[in-house]
Amino acid sequence: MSRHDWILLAGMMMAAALAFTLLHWWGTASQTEGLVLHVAAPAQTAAAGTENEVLEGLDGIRLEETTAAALEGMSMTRLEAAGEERYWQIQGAQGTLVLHFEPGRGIEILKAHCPDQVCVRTGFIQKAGQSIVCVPNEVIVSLQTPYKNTEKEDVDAILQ
Amino acid sequence: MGTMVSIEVHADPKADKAPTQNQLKEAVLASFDRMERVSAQTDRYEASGAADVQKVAAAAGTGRWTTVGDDLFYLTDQVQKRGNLLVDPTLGPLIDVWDIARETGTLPDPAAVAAALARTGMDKMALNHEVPAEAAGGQSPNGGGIMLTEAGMSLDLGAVAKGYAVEKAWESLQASGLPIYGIINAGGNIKTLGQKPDGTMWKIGITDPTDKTRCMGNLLMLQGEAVATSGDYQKYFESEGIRYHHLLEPSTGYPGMENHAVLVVAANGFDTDYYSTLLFLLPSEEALNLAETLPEIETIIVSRDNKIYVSSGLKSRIEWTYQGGFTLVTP
Amino acid sequence: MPSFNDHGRIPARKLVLLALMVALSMGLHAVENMIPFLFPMPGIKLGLANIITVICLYLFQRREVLIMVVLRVILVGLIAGNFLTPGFWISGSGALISFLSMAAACRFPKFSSVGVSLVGAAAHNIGQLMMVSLLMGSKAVFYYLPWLLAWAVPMGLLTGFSAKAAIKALRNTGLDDTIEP
Ligand SMILES: [Zn+2]
Repeated sequence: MSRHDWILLAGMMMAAALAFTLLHWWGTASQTEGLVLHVAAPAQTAAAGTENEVLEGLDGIRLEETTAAALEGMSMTRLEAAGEERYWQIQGAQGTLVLHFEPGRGIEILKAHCPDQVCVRTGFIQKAGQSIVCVPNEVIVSLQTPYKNTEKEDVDAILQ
Repeated sequence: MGTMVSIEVHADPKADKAPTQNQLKEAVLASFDRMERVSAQTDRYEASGAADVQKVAAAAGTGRWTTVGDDLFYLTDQVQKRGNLLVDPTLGPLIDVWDIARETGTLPDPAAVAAALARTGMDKMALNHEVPAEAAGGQSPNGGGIMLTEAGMSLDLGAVAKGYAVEKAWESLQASGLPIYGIINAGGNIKTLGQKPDGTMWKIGITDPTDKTRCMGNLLMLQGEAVATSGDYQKYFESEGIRYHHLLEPSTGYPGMENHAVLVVAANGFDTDYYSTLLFLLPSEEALNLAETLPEIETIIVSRDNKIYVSSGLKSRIEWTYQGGFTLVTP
Repeated sequence: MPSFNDHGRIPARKLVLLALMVALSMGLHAVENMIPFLFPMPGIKLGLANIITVICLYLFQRREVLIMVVLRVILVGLIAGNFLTPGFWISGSGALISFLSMAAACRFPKFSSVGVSLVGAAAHNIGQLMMVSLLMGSKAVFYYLPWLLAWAVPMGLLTGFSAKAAIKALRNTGLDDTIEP
């Protein structure tokens, strides 16, 4: 290895360490509450009329579900629950996926119709910026800091 | 199912033996699987083309029976037996025309609507519980046989499949025998499971048909009760200021223009879905009168002329928060 | 055009060597397809086949290496049955971007083959992540960047030293005599 190789090696290790530090700082500095859960799923059939299903609102304990309003005619739904266990079934490119929210642990993909099962083995995510990806199903589940305020409504479910 | 389905379950804190995390998970996964079984038979947009409805459509006009699963057979059989022509499971060709219209945002050619309409009709759908074994490929079907008599026909169970699937998911959760309570929500179809530990009723927000981000009020629901909405705001496109939605009138081939939304509460999810479609296509007052004669259902009707009709059994169970531009009619 | 004869054809010996390299890289590529779960991200691969890319960069012309990389990606895609699926695009973009960065790094004689490999490994992972992000229309996947950068260090060293040994061995056998006049 030449001297320049060593410099390069050190540089890469520093870059990785820096990225880790930044991520850790960002992850812990941001609350694990008040996050927004995004679910990006592939385009659906005409029948479903939904192109992108987006779930929003993991409020630590509060969940809110929104069907992307960008689509013509799709309604926005909000579902809320306080400290409650919750499961969703969403449509991926190869089949359905089951998301599971557990208070205190976060969100996971519990079951997926995909050959690699990598998404299922990823386990729970609970911090801002984390995501679970299922490549075969073209699905990303991620936790993000909210970009808008949502008023809380005291209902068990919303009829779309 | 096309839409996202959510199941929320909790262990009943008053139960003697709390279910384990795994028992809960298994119960929920089993009920999702049950719904998937329904959609594997009834989803005509299934990408693989392997859904039973798609096989029925492929055999349309050939004079051959197609053996279908129990769920699809039950649904078509039920709809045919009830016999109301406003809920028609053979609207496939017509829905295809309007799907394209919605995608392109342009009104369909009246000739195309008429041509599609000619290929619909429950009278051209034959059901047979006992398909001859040779037609069934040597095995006896667990559901039954369906035949569409004209080429180009296809089934669409969109009006009832979701409510039925919610019902089946609910039955599956019940069958687990676990002390749980919760709610199944498939967008426009909801069913409650068990009772909340604080003893209060389930509260369901009612969407304003003219502003989907707002709730007009809350509907209080008993345990084991289902609710469904058919609304012109769920799937539509606009042309020259008119909203063309997905709830089609089987006699004209065009969207029903009597109401904005119809909500139906019943014990059975299939009933809620079936009647919300049916009542939606009737003139508001006629719909209300029909609902009052049916003991199994209660309804809220939001008419095109911005009136809200509530059936007698529901009046005390709604907490109105705001009514937008609507006026509440109390007959 | 020293490596092509008058008729624009590649000399037979060289052709055989190139084909051998494609086959070897396909083997490595296939092996890593069998390693199911090393990263928290599906579709992301180690980049073992980069060993061959590095070797070739020192033995062949850049254009020929490019052909070899493209061939390998397509052939493995066809064999693995994921041709034109997300997995194919992800490994393809990783392979291509790492080739481009290594080809650039090769021009600096101050880097040895190990340095070139390190650059390649980092580029490989970044390229894959970029494709995942593109395919999914989301930047959320860059959350995994630190892990992938950290992984690039041992992977780069592994491919670098393997390539170094291989190049030395090849030069000792004199096999490369006919390759680069
Ligand atoms: Zn997966």
